[in-house]
Amino acid sequence: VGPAAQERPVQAAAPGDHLCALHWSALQRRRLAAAFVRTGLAAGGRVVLGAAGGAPDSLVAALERVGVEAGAARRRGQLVVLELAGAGGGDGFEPARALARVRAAIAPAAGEEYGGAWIAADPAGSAQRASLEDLLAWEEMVAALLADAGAVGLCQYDSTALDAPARAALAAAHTALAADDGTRPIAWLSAGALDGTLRIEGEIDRSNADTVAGALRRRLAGASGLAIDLGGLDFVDQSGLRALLGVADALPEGGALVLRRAPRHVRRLMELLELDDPRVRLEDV
Amino acid sequence: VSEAPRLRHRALVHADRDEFVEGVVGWLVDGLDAGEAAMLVAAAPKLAWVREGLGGRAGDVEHVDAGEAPVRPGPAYRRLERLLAERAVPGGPGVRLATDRDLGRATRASAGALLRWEAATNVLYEAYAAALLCAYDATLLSGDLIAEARSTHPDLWEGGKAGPSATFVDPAAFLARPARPAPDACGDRWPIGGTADLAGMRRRLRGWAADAGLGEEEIADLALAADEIAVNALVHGRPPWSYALCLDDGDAVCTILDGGPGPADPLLGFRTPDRLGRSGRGLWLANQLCDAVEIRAETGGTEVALRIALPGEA
Repeated sequence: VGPAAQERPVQAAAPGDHLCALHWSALQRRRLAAAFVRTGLAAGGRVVLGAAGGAPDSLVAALERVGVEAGAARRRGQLVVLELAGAGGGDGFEPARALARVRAAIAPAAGEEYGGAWIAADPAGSAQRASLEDLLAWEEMVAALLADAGAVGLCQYDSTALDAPARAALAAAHTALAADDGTRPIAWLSAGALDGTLRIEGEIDRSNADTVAGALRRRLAGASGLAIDLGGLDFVDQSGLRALLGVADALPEGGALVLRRAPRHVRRLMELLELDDPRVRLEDV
Repeated sequence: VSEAPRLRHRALVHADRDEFVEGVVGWLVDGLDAGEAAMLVAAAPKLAWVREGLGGRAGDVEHVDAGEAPVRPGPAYRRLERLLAERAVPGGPGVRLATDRDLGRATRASAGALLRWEAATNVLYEAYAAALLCAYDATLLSGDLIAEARSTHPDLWEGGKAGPSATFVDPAAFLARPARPAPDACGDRWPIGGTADLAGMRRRLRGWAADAGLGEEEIADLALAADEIAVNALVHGRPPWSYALCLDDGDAVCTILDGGPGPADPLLGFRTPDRLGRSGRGLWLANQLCDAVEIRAETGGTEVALRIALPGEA
């Protein structure tokens, strides 16, 4: 891969991004996968992992060891682990069948419960005999799927098993090379268990305001309004508040942004900044 | 018919009750005679003194009980600005206001911050049809503070005589004076590499402030102010960025450092930002959240000290 290849941190990946990671060690691979899964879970997305030949349970355990709450996410259905090889009954890698499994796994992500889909796959690792032609065919289909579904994709390849031309060809089949900026999420989006109200927990500041704003706009997509439960929001600064209230600008005529259980500090900042948008309603429940 | 609308701003430096009453009553009666709306803001005992001094005209003056709690400067001037915007519109009859600057209960830094607001007042509210009298108790306040009161009010009543203040300083020049030296008891300086470090800074600040005895709301205010000033430094300043936490002179203090020259406009942080404007709000917000915001720009960089008084100190 030439030095000119564009890099993008998985933490800053946008819908439709198709990232390529060429790792040289299992540790490198696990770290990047962990950063990717953490980002997807925090954004309230449905995260689908195409397992690298190993048992799904051990993959989840490996994520748990580096601090990703993968087990709980898997139990509530937010994290799905797929075995990409053997989809056709044999142990070979069949791109079309593997893709059908991924497509089915991300289907629920289109619903209100989730904020998009995050797909990480290690197609070569899950099929030792996969040919470069099969892999490139797979990547072409994945790119179309990601663009179509507005999902984020990360394809991880073991560099030690690929020659330089293959690595270059695979990298060229992606929008960017994946990087890890080392940051961890400070805000978590999720749909409430009872009525599906979007919940934001944690903190919103300058570092994640754009990410949160993007996630909120995706949630709104076409709806006439949005309700957000802020009961678990511990901190918000001016940029964070703008990210929240900026949703109002994307509302259709007559639409409302409802902020539920806004903590004292949120109300205080709104008062200080005299932000009284008629489209924004504060509710205590 | 009143004169052309223009802010009048007088300091009343009084040595006893009689001087206080004489200075305030004279000021308010002048306003009433000119057809202005007169208002007095003070704690209950002093309201009673003035009411007695006003005699039959007491009913014409609006009395506002300032309470016993020390006043945080930023919000107090925001309230004043709202009052002026509502009642002291240019061309109207004008507002005549007397306020007791009861700084005996404020921390040293908060009193210093208030006098910087007094300097800014001459510029910020110059277009309002208002006459403001600020009373300072010379027996209670340090000589330095009284000198600053004379420097920040163009008009002065002292020892029974009213007239222009001989030591008045141009407000921009007054505000450009460096704040007093930063606390030297500050311990570790923690680096800020980028916005990803803000959450860690806030976490450390909250834990430290709780240990120092600051209340929950004050901790939230200080954390927000530190975040906003750090973002300002990251966006407008230059590396290296860092922060420190310390206790100084009765205050919990968070200082934010950057390698840049600091804000060019000495009124930034005092002037209420345009609602749509995006720049300059961080410093203004910090002034609403803290008891004092002190900026010191030196050749090596700029330090902003954010102070909130510890309980029992103010």
